[in-house]
Amino acid sequence: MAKFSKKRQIFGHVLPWILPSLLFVSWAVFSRTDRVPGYLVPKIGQVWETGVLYLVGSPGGGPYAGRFLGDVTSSLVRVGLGFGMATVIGLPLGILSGRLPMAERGLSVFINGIRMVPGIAWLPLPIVWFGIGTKTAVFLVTLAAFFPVYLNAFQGARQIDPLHVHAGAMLGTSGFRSILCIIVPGAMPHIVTGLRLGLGISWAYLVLGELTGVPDGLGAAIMDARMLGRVDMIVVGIIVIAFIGKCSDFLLVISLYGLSKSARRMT
Amino acid sequence: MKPDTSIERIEQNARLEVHKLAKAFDVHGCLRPVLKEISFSLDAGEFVCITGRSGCGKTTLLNILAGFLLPDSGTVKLNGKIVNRSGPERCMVFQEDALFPWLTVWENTAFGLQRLGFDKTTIHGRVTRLLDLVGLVSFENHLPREISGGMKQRVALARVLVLQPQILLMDEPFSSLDTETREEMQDLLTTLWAETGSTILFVTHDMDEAVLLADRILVMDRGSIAEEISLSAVRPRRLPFDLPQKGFY
Repeated sequence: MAKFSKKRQIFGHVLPWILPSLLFVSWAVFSRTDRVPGYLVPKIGQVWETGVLYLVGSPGGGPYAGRFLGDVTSSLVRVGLGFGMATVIGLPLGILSGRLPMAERGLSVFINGIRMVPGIAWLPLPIVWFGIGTKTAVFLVTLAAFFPVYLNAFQGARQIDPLHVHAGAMLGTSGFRSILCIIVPGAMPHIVTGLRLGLGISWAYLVLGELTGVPDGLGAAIMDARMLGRVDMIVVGIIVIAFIGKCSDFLLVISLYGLSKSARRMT
Repeated sequence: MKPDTSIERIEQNARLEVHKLAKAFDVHGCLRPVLKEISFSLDAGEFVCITGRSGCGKTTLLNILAGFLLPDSGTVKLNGKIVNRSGPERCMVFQEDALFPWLTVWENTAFGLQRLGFDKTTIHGRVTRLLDLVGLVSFENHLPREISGGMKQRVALARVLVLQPQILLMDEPFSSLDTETREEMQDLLTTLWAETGSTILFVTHDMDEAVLLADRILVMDRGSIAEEISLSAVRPRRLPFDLPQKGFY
């Protein structure tokens, strides 16, 4: 029994890596056959070299050499600002709408209408308002991250068991304290989901915002590589975004677990 | 400093007066009266059971007394003062599990004391004492999802008794428990009541339970009190298994 359980444990650790490994091996085999030209699917070795140069190369060693730190810093600032604003606006509004029917009535039609507009349709407007640059990217990230944060906070606050609110009131917690002590902890599983989805979509919209012609950032590097026909650099950019995105999600979860008992115990 | 573990007896001055309480609910556009000008009173330290069929208005009455609902007319007075909002002097133990799932047994029990601004020594002393009384000291770090239904109701009881409420309202708190656990909880409640001197209003649809626990039984029917029964039998009232139950009441 113990042997079986240990095997299962090992399989559990291996399982998440099976799909990426399969993808990696297929890519390696596929690119070696030369059936597809290198400008469509680059060879692994070429991507590796470009990646290393991008990460640790010295400026002047090529168009992307040593740009990593600057690009990542710019992108992180844009995601941080956009996601932060979406959280500051979306969380309280979501909780308010979830608890007050009048707030829900006042907001839901407007928010659900805007939610249906795809990001690409919004793009020209911030360009006209803010011009090309950080402000446009931050606007797009804020807009994109707002909806999952708002909707999940709304759903979480709405499904709070009325008995918990009653119990809180009789135990000396009402009004604003009830929001802090009962509603937010009770809605935490939904809030965590909303924040994680919001952060994920922030990275997607960041790339969209940076495709407009900003000089730095991971999206800008990818767009630049497309113009120069450097598919290897596009792949490097994609891998870097996936890695940084995963790390930021991990940090978000760890921070929420550290800050909130209910996040730690209920998710 | 030695922690204060004493559970003081409630001062014998909690008198609850319910005067012509009425409540109706709008059901599909039609106003359906649930309480029809109910009046009764509870003396300090009294154990009163309210019983009656499902839908006769027991839970609505308790929700109004706890301050969760406002009546359409009538008043609720505690020690002569009208009460219309919930507060720690009138605590309720619910039928369903109402523990906060993100807090441990200890944290759930201490929640009210912390919110009301008690000092750490008092909180530690009272919570430890109550968890000891309900037999859950060894489970103090467990989350509600990690304990059984009976244990959850014990925590719910400890969570309100720790505040030393003047009136304890209980809405069919043992109805979802198995027979053995229910009997254990009934005995525990009787012991705690004797120890704390709380005034208890206990809602149940089980007449046997009402007879076992109460000093007085109010029988409700369609929103009114149809009958009032006083019981003077000495406690403990539970018979051993080998004695015939027939004729006991």
